[in-house]
Amino acid sequence: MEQLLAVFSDPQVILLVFVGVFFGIVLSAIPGLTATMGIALLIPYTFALPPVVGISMLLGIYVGGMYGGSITAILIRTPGTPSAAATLLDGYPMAAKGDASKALSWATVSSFVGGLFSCLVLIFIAPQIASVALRFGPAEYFALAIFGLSIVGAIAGSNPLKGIIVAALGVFIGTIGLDPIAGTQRLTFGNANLMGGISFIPALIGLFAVSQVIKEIANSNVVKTMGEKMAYKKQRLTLKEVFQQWKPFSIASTIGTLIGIIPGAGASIATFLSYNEIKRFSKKERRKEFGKGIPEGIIASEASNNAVTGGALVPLLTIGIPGDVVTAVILGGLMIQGVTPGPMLFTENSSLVYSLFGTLIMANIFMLILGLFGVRLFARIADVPKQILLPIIVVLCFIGSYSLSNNIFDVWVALAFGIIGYFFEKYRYPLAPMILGLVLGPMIESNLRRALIESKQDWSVFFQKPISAIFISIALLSFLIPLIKKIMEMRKEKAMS
Amino acid sequence: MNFVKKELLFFNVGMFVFSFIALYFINQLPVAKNTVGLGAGFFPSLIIWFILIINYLLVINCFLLLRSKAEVEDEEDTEKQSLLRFFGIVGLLVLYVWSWELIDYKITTFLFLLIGMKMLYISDWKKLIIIPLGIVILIYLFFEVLLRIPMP
Repeated sequence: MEQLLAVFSDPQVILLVFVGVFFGIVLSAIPGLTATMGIALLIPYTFALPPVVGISMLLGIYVGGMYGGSITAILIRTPGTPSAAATLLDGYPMAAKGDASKALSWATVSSFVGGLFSCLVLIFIAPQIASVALRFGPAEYFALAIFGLSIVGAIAGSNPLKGIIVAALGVFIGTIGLDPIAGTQRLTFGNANLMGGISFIPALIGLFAVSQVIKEIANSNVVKTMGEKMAYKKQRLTLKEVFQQWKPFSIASTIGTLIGIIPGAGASIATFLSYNEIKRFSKKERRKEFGKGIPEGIIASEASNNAVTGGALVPLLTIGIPGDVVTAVILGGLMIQGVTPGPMLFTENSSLVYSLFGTLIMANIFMLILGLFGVRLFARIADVPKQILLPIIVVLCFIGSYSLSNNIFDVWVALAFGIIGYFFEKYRYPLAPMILGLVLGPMIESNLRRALIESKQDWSVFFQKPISAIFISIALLSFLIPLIKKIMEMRKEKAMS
Repeated sequence: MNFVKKELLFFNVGMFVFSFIALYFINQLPVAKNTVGLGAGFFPSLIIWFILIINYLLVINCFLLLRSKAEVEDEEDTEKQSLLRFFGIVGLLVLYVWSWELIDYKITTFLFLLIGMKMLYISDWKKLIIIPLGIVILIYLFFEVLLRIPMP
């Protein structure tokens, strides 16, 4: 406990954590740039620093990076990071109603609560939880991914079938590239750029941001009113409002932490799962409000994605397996410092471990301060007329897409998905399920095939393993219930007419 | 043509065409040995068949909506979408991205922002010059100088 508190009195740690959080927020707010990139860029500079100081800065970027993507998701419907894709479902509608300031405040507070919750879990029960995560095999991962995909019903809008087909399309697009097991080229048509598959981030940028720009400009009625600024009300979030949402906070933080603990699951799954579960546990009248700009939608995404930070560090520190892409890069940073994660870390180097726990708490506090004070600055984006903002958004999207791997092909991907997204929205097909499909598709395929190969094509393996059986059963119910409800509603309307 | 008919024609029919073309290419994939039927084409073909079934259900849904006249009126597209503006903006975006391979991105970005803002009825020449110039400088400083990311 002394080491945990000692970091709060070290000026070097305090300064670098602050810089890390700020850098992480700025990077992840820009579409195409990510916390992973920021950490990778700064790892070489941490070599000259003491271990606690160097790793603290990286953790600061991690925490800031998970939050920053929500800023552009809320203000300009452009998620800065994949983990903020769910935030725009309610964040942008809330901002469009004139409550940008409140939406950003909800995102900040939610990120803080989720991050702090997972820190506490990390501190008190890390080794015990890691042992459960080790029990996940291919069948369990497949079931988890299917469970994640089952929430399309919650985000599909009025017609679940539209959500399902879009998600399936996303899964199919995810198969382009090299077969994960046999290494065969699939649907690449000899194009070397496609061998790695369709890059996820340019697709995300294209679907949400570029499509929106095309839609706004193509709609001639909207163009004439573009000089008008987005209505902006200066509104503060009260403590009472925050405490009233204790239930969504609890659910989102728990889901985010648990998903973060499972290696390879990632924040994107956590955010959509959390959104679905909070919607499921809401009152009937409230469920209809999801997607129209309510705090629960923002809390679901932001609390869960920041809760992933502490959760992802559990397998990293306890068994040396990174929980997500960012912690995989942080692992590199740890090894540069001569720190070997694993069970022995807690016994041989406990002072370092508890110092890191302390810096994680510090990073969340700085994120809260920067976020709440920055709301006034960030929300000013709402003052910029759309006629100026829209072309700038396009430029940032394309530059961001290019900067991922210095490949112009990614920019073409962003543009292509922008056009696809425009037509999907034109015919009222939801976009978010495609992102889910793209994220979960590779996980579904590789684990499905591995599980079937291991079980010699015995499909009952998914129901023989308890964890897998539970996830698949819930997934099936999640798929079927919205469909059955829709059929019953149609029959009722027919009977009444 | 009402909205539901447009959806049926452009999206659903298009999805059927896409699915059959995809199935054709998937069937061309080589079958590797020792994969017990779970080769490279297994999962993509599974997904495509699933898409075909769901698309079929959506087509039935469209026909049911067309039969119900009250619902058809609700579904009609009331937004005035300008085809010319759509092709205009898409053309401009294609030109912008393509020009990166020929000219330095700073010049093309400046021109794109200028033309884009002009298309959106910004007529003040000071804004048309200063804002694009400012954005290009910011992008250069942030991406190339601070982050050292090579740009096109």
